Amino acid sequence: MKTNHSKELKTCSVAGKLPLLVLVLLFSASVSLFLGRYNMSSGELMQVFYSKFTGVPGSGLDMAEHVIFQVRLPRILIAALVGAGLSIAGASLQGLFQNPLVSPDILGVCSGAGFGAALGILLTSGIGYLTAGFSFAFGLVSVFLTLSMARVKGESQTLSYILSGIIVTSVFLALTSLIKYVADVNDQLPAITFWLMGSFANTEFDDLWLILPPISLGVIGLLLLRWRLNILSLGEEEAYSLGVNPQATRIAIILLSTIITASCVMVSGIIGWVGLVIPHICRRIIGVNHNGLLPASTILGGAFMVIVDCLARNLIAAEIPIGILTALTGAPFFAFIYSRLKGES
Amino acid sequence: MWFEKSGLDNAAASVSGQSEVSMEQLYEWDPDYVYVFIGSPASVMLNNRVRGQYWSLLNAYKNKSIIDIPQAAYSWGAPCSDSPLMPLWLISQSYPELMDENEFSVMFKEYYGRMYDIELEDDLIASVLSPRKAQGQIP
Repeated sequence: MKTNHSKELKTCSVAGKLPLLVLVLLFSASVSLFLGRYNMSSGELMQVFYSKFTGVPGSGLDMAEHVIFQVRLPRILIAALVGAGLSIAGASLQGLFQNPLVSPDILGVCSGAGFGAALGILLTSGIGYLTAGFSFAFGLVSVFLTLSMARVKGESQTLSYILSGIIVTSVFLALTSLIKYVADVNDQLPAITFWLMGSFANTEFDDLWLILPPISLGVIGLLLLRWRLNILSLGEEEAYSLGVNPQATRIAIILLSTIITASCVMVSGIIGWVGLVIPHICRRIIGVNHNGLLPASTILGGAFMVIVDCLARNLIAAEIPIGILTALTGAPFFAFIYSRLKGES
Repeated sequence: MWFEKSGLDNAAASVSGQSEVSMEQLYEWDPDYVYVFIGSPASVMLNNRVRGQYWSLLNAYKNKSIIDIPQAAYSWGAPCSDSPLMPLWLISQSYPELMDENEFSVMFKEYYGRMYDIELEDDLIASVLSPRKAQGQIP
């Protein structure tokens, strides 16, 4: 039977591509660990690893060891986690709203979390955990506001979510501008501006432990719900007949995406484009079936973020805000893929 | 420019304006002196209190050479009417064998007498040279 055969072929190719993507992720993470502004020869590198794993203290290589294990390693892990989280959140929301232009910020998480962080920096100049706490809290508050505004039932439900998202986003962006206006120009304003552009600088293992639970929870939850995304696209009645409660699933997916995105923004600022572009690239590679699309987005998103962060910290002596780099690398890359494969579909 | 005039090398010469630089780049440069213009006072970095940044590995930290730039009529880190004093102050900090703090204070007094016709007292000079203390930012 031809249909079964082609379906088997498709599944085989998906299953074959996922390990390949994992290899890309591991390779880029390892290479990124060895690249940095701090110069060390390969001999010193080997010495540092040897000392770390055998417990034999190395001589005079404190700085090198610190750079590799305390500066680069947490940064790479956090970048991979954030990239993975944003990508799967973007892919899920695109599937939920059946709109390829949806990004994780559609419901206002990023702008709400950005406002929370700006407020935290204004009040505490970045000392302590208040900034991160406010960021996460306001991320959740903004989505709550969006959902409570979008009470319309029926065919236009998707549209009403998106419209309330636009309203809430605009309000929080305006409030953030207000905070930038009253912030101290020497100290707080540069901190807020740099934070809003996104950065993995000065991240350490404490940040990793902070975001690992919420992001893993969100990613695992979304992965478990991925087949329901396929069913939701068939319509409300079909979903009910197949035993899936569309409204509950919608809320669950929105909640999980929000937790992931708010955690990402809390640790690294607002990073756009990743949640929008990576799912599209994966759709070209894997196909539109969410079974394969969500895991692929997760892995490729992590790899992409690791590579871009590597560029952000190594290209020039100063740090390039990563939000700028994701836009500059993601958008043209996406245009290239889209135009090259346009003929095939 | 002030660094040139006082015989110091600007490690961050490739970076222009106010840019953020990662700690790793600082480890690579490992400067002998860090002069703090604006933002957190030097004492914050000397106490290694900045989140995500380990200043304790730098040479400048070990020699306690993270220093706040003085502020008189204006901060000496920006071009102002006190600018001729900046390279002299840098020399008194980095090459104390050429000119120590007392000799610098004498030149400081003389400059203010000549330029502004103001007689500076010693405690005023002290508050200029440790501006963060005068502003109450450190005890």
